[in-house]
Amino acid sequence: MNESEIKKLIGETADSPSPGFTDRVMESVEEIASKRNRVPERRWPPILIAASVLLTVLGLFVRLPEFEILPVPAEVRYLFIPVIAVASLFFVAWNLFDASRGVSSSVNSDFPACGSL
Amino acid sequence: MTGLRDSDSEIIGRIREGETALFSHLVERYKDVSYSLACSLLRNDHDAEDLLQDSFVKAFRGLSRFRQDSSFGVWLYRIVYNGCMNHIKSKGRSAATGRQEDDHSLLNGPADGTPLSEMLVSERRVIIDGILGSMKEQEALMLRLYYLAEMNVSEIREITGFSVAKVKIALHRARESFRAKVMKRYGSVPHYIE
Repeated sequence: MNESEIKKLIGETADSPSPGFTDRVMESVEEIASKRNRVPERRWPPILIAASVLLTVLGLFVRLPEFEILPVPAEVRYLFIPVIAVASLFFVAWNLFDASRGVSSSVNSDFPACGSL
Repeated sequence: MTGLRDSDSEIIGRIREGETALFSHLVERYKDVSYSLACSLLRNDHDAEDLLQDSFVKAFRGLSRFRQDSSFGVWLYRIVYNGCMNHIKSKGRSAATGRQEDDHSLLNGPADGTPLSEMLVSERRVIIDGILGSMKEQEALMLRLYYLAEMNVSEIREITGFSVAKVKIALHRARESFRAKVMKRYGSVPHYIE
């Protein structure tokens, strides 16, 4: 049996996915494309996470007596509690919202790591 | 107008510029071979189709980062191959093995063939599928990549991550094993190969 005969036999085993496969793929693709058009891909989540951490640390320094390094008046200290709480909640909610829309900057390990990307 | 004859790189360029609908040309062009590869590895039609759909969506998402150092086919087959390997690692193979012979796909004979030749091709296809299914998974994959996807040794190396030597040896063994099984089944080359 020569090469062309093997090729012919194996070539005949090519199969097709079920009817409508291309349409189903294209539905997903169009959905992704429309999301991209609506919301430009951003790199905000890491910045927001860093800002949340920074605010929390700053809050600790301002609020807790054992961290009273900064000369902050008492009124500002008390004002800081609701500000920190609201800001943290906002940042967490924003991050979750972004992640749910798939615009998070997380790395997708499914892509080949060869030089083709 | 863009037809199926346009080169992959041309289509990819236009998709990147926003003509998303052109991605369907790439799906049409590569779905059959990719599906056969996925079936060969997963040995389950439904799992293979789900994985293939997922692979095409991943390819679309990653298209902006595809640098075209290799062909789109090699890149896509590698996504499919990685997906299959991850699927096997996480879930194992499905209990259902082999193709379902009453599946729609077996009814798809060559459009210009007579009913008799279509029947013969369908019958032969079931037998060859069975032979490939009885071979070691790696050997069947090598044969499909080389003869069906028409990849060369270097491209198979890129897809599977094997060394060139390993690809050559596996391909040689696969070819010999396939020949032996076909000869055993038919006694000679199937006489109705056109």
